[in-house]
Amino acid sequence: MAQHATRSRSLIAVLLHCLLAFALMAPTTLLFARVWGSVGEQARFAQSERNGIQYLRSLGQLTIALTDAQSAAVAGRPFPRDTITRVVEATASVDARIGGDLRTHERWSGLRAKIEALAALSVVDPATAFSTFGEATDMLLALYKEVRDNSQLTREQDVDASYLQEGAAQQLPEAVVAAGRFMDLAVIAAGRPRNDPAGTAANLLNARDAVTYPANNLAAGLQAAVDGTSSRTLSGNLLSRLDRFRRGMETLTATTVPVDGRTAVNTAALRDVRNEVQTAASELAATILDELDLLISARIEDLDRQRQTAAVTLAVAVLLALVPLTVRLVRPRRRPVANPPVPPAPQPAEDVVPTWRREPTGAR
Amino acid sequence: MLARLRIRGKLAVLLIAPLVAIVLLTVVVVVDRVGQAGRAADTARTARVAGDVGALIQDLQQERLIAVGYLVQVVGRSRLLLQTAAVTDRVTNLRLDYADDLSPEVAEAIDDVKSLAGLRASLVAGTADVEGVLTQFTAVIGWLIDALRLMDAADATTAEGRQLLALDALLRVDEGNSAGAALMTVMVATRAQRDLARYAANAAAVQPNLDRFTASGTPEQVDLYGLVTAAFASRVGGGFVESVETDPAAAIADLRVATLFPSLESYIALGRFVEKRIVTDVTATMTDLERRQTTTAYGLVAGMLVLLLLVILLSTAIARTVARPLTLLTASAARVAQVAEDELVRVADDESAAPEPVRLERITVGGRDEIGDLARTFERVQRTAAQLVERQVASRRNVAQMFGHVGRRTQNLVGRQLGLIDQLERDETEPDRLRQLYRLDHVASRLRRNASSLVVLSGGTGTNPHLAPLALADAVRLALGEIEEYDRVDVQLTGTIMLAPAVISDLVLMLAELMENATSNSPPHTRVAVTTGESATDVRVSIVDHGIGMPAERLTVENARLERRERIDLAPTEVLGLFVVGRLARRHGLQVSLSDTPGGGVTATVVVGRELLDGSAAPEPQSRETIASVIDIGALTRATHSIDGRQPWNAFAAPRTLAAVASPPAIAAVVAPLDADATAEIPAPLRQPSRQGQALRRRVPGAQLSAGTQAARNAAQFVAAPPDPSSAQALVEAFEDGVRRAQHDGTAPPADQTPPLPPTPPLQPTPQSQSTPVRPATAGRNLSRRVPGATLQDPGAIPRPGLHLVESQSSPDPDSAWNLVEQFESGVLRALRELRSEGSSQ
Repeated sequence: MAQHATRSRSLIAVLLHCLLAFALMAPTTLLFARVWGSVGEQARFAQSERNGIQYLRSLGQLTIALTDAQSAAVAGRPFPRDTITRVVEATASVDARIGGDLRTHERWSGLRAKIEALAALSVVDPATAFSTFGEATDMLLALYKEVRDNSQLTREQDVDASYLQEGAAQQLPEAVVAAGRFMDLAVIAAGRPRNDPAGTAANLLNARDAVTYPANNLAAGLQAAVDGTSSRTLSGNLLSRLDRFRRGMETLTATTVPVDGRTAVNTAALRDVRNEVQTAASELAATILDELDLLISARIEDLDRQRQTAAVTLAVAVLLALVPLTVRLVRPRRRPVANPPVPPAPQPAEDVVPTWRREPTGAR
Repeated sequence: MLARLRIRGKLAVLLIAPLVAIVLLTVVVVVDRVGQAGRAADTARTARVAGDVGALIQDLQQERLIAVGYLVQVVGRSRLLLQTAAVTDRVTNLRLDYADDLSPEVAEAIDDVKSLAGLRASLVAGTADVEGVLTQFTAVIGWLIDALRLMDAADATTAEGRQLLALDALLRVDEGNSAGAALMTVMVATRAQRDLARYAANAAAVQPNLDRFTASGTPEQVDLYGLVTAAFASRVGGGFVESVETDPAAAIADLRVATLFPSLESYIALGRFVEKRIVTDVTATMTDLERRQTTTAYGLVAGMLVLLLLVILLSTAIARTVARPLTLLTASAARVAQVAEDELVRVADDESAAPEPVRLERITVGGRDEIGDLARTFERVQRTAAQLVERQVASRRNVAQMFGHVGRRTQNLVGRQLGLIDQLERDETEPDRLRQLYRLDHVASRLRRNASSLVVLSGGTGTNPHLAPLALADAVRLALGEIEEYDRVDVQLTGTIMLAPAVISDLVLMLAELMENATSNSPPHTRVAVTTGESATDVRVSIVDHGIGMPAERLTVENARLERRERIDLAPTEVLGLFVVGRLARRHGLQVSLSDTPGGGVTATVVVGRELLDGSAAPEPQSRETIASVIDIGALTRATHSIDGRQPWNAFAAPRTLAAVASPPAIAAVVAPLDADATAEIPAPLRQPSRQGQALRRRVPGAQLSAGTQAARNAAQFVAAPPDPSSAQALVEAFEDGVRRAQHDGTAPPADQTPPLPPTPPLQPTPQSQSTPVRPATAGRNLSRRVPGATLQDPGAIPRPGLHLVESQSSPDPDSAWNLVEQFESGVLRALRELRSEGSSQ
């Protein structure tokens, strides 16, 4: 009975310990779950951004190749189909890999069909080539936007990363495409009979503004990114590339292309500027995307650290909560103290024994 | 001071000094680390403020350049207004971001930006000139840079201090470059000699700052600035910087302000990248340093706490390992002391015959240190002490057993001696020899008493031959027979008090010791009185002597000795008698006390509780008969005889007893064969006492069963008709008593007093039996009778109560008859037992 009571008492104690452990663990686990979920969400977000950056890299190559091809087509030169095919294949493989996550398969399929159709195009007149390629580059810019949106890059919170993604995924491609069109327009204008100098000048001016605007925005944006960053490499890496790109654009817009509609364009100089601008843009895009990737990688590492910290905290909390229970279960159950050796009860004094019951101790 | 501390306290004292030292050292180091971390944080903050103010400065520089451009008409007014708005926004943001965290100088310098409002208004109004723009903007920017006080905040001996110096230099270099860009715009626009000179002066002013930057900046930063320089060169041409010093006009000859301005605009933004690089470097380094120092401080504090905890735990554990065994040892020592004390108490109280083995707990102290050794040694001490105590107990028990054995052996021997004496007495007819024999008998009785006392002293209990209640008077008489000066004792008993069998022999011994004490401790001429008093709950027997008595304190001591248990080997030997009395009294729950007798002397009072009395049987006549059949007849007879000489006092004073014995029919049937048999065994002279006129032999040898052959024969005869030596002897005794009385009253014998003991003829089928009824009748006064007390002393004055056997002729009732039958049977058993015991002892 007493043992039963002891057992039930110890059972109640164990239950209380369990309850205490649960009470300690429950809020911790809840907090952990929330932190884990939130951090996981952020990590998925960042991973998606990295996918977007990866996609943007291949699109950057494609943009350069496409504008190059457009210039060649407009100039009546054979354009390098191998390059286009290689870039398209590279982009196709990237799209096959991460296009599902970024939901770009269809857009890419359309764009690819368009580009392949362009590549198969035989020699046409510059204006047709310009407009045909224009459709493709428009689709390309739309794909940029799609990638940027679906990879969550547009929702970037950090100042530097936000400006960088905007520059890399929007302003820089726009500037590159606009610069290509501007130069191609100049080439077309140069090849066309000068019957409408005013109209040509207006077109060229429009095209120039279309170049200047994203380029200036890009410069301002990158400046803001540098102002707002804590990265130690961003400012240094951007400095020369951005300067080169801006100088290229300044050269292009200020001196190389006359916008009066009458002066003939210096085609050789234009080609040099165009190469310079394309190279600078390519470098700048790579640099921006590298820096963006660095920032987001650092963020992912930070998130991983947060996850580890949360996990360790939870583990410690669980251990702390389990310690009393474990101690209780592991500790050898206290046995009831053995009865101390009771001295034998003093024997009844001999004289109490009735004397007549005793054997005679001696013969009388 | 130290002596008063316990072990834990001593350990604490031992540890406190190093612990305090550790704590102090840690505190010093931690304070240092925290200070370093604070300084690092300050540096990082200064760098951050410098970076943000640098952004404002750059906006102002842009505004200055645009204003100049506006004045030289290369940009529109909207650009200027936009830039002004950007500067205003930057100021607002700065104030909001840093709130009160900015130093007063910086705050004032930022506020001073508003002083450009007038200039801006005049710019928009078209009234401003280039000179005013350059002067005012440069002044505001210069003040901002000075207000940052990076030179003061920086410690050039540290890397981060040098970084701050580099930042300061770079800010000034950038300001120089920016001002140079504005000047160049003006210079290119106006191509005035004065502007050329100003540009050259500005370029020269930039150089020291550039040198400072190159000296204090890291190689990466310097390289980065090289890109800025290259950017400038690419904008204005490779040899511009050299040629502008020698021939400024020629150097700027190719430059057009419309194309130069946008490139200058983008150029002055480049310095900002290098500044930002320095700021981020410093911030990162300082943040890292701060984190490191903070971590170190926390780590040190945590380590110190862990160390403290460890030391405290360790010291507690060590104190435990030292103090706990000592506590256990102390407890063990206390237990040993307690056991020894208990043992002392117990040996003083030695009446419990079963000594308990001493149990001591083992000291469970392990360990190989000194305390373990001490514990083991103490364990030995404890074990040895226990053995010592046990051995002492055993030896005491052995001595007591020895006493007991000697006492019992003496009892046996004296018993046999008494039997022999008895036999001799029976055979002796010569009065003188008989008297000697009686004295010998008396001495032997006293010797037996001494043997009984020895048994009591040894802690054992003697035999108690009494199976039936006995009158207190008889008990007193038995006691009297065992003391030396019995003749000085006057027994004045009232009432008939029957004692329970269990208490009889011990009470007899007690009374004997008390009476012996009384007689031996009072002058020979005084007398000792034995009286009784009854109350509802008890009976008091007082033994009163009239000696010189005891002093009050001695009386107290002796009374205490009677009540309290005391060891024999601690008690003075002269009071051994009282010791015996005390032990017996405690054994039976009797109260014995000594008090002063009024007029001198000591009165010993024994209080016998009612529970020790055989109250139910006391008034019954049958009980007397019971006694007669079972008590130690021999002893009683001897006692009676010993006393008789002085006091003709019949032990079987109750006349009804004999009447009951003599009453028909049951007893008569027993008596008849017995008497016949006894008569047959009686020697010829005794067989016909009346006719031969010789002294009547009152002893019946067969009753004592002292001879084996006789006993065997009797036993054989008893098979047919169960013999009872005791009852037979009782009958014979009664008979003899009658004879003696007849003899005693021979001077005036009333014929009717002759006991009609002999039964009627129908009960006497044998011829021998006919002689029995004759015997009392013919016991004439001339019969020679052994009178034991006659030779001893003067006859007592107390009249001897007569035997009134006539009264015993009461009508037989079934109960008494049944009692007689039962007593008879028990007598047979007793006889058989005695036969066995005698047979074995011989």
